[in-house]
Amino acid sequence: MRNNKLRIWSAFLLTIGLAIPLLVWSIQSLTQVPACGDQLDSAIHRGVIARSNAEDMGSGDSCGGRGFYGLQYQCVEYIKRFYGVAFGVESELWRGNAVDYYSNAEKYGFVKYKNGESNIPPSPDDILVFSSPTSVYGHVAIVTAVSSNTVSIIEQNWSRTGTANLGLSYNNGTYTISRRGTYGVLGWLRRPQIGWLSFKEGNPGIPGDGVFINAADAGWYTTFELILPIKLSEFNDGFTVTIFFPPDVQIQGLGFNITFENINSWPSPCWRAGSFATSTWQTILINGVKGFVVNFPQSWILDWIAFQAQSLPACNLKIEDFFIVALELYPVPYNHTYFSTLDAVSILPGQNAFPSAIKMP
Amino acid sequence: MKRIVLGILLVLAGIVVSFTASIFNHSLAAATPKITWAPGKLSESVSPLETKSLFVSFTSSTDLSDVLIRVVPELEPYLKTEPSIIPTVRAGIAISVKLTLAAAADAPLRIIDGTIQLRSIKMPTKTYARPLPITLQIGKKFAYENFSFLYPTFGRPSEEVVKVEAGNTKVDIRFLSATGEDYVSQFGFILYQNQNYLSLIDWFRQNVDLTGMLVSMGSFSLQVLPNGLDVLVHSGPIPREHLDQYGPVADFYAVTPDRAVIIIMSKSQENEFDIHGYNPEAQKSLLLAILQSMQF
Repeated sequence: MRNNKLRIWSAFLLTIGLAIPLLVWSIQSLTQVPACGDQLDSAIHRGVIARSNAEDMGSGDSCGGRGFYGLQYQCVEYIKRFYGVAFGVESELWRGNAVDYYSNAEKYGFVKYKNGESNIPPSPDDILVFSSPTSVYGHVAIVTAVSSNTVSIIEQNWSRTGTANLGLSYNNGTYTISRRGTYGVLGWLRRPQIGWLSFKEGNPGIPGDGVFINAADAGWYTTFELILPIKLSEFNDGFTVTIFFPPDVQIQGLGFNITFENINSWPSPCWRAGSFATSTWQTILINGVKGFVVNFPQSWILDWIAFQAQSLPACNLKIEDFFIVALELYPVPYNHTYFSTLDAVSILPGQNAFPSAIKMP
Repeated sequence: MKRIVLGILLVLAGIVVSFTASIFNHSLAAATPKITWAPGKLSESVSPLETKSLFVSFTSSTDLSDVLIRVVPELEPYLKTEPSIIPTVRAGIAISVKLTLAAAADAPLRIIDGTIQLRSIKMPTKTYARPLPITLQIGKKFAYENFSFLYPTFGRPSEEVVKVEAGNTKVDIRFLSATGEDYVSQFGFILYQNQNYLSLIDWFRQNVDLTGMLVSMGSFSLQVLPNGLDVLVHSGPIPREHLDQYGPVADFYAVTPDRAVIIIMSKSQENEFDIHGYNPEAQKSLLLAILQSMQF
């Protein structure tokens, strides 16, 4: 009898002894913040992990100090790292706080859509920009999925899971993402499909989207300057340029130069600028818009580099030094009119290369 | 009798001493040179971690020897002169003095009024008239309407971007980047109209601390600064329950002494304070020093 009581008491104490640490561990694991730099739950999009700002979560402090894409792990660091890693964009050069991304959208090649006023819904990979009257610098996140009534996002320095779902509504032809705490959504930013270019004169988007840009002025030809210069060394089979004009632009003949230079040598005696000029083109139809296609063979690039290297031996000029910086357009035959408006332009490696998602005729 | 004689002698001795002193003083006054500085006064600023030099000169109306150039104690931590002793000064000949201004990383942001004085090494407590008045500002002054503050630029060109949105003023302070290509945001704040003149705690509770956890759980603690600002300083982790529901918070929330304006202040999400050698604790102290320099 005594032995039985002893057994019962032992079992009871053993159970309590095991249960209490287990309970404490469970509570801790639920409330504990992941260590600095650890993945937030299973927050990952296109292979880019959202990381923990640990005890600094939700504040202006950054547990991981300075990294390649900025202060780790602020919200801005994630969107820069996302575009750098997933799309190869030189986003480490982007400047600004979260809320500035909305006003600087065009500068970095994004098209912006205002929350509550846009008839274009958010889409995966878009940047979502938040602002709040009690936040100096706002918040940013990346859209991972969109359904008829929800926008899913991935982020740093807010939720401890690194993900969240926001309400999406469609009324009177426009999309609205609901508020989140003390923050509202300013809008979403979309980078046109890789291969489509953005210019200092504006972001023309993709063919047939109804967005055009105008050059600030026009001489005997019109210049459009790239926001992000393209390295000539990225090409090993030349490249293809496709230009789209608004429907009302009458094209009889098209002449254009692709301008490139060793931008990092400016100003020095080794700085050189050049251009490939052509007025030979073929046409294609994309999204119902006529495009003019020109192939630039690799031999043109190599011959030009070789000639420059020979002319300036002391400069040790290499293909890696040169970048495509601008596009110059003029009508052929020349008739004192200008092509000052563009619908879209793509430059892609290879011959007869077009952005992949576009259905070819 | 002896006492009377002693008294008379003491009175006489007093008269003699007074007379001698008055003659000595008179001769000293006659020999006192007049010092003229060029420029006649100086107003300069220097930021923490910055060093800069400039030249001033003075002339004396009489010949002087063994002149000591003295910087008053208030300015001494920030101002050095070269030379500090001049063996001979000829009357009417300008003497050039190099001033080096420098402020340490932890120098408090403030405005100091002081002087540079010329003295004789032989009589170091006497100053030749007149000294050079100097107003030294530690940090760059930003002023907008009736509001101003000082901030460190670390010797870099800076710009202040002011936007007025929905009646609130937003200020962003930017420094030229190391590459010199663009200005990088460092810190900023919103001047928020406190319509109902709420206390800081009440305003915070109604607008930010909506769960009531931020103050009660030590995420923010209240401080009163010498310039009269009440400040809630971010001082601990933000509770998950608050963060999930309401989102990230600013570093500081303050109210002016008259409760008319709430100041919401944050480090920029791309600030470069670490590059200038400020760890997170030092960054907090620096931003508090900026708040402390605010005037309304």
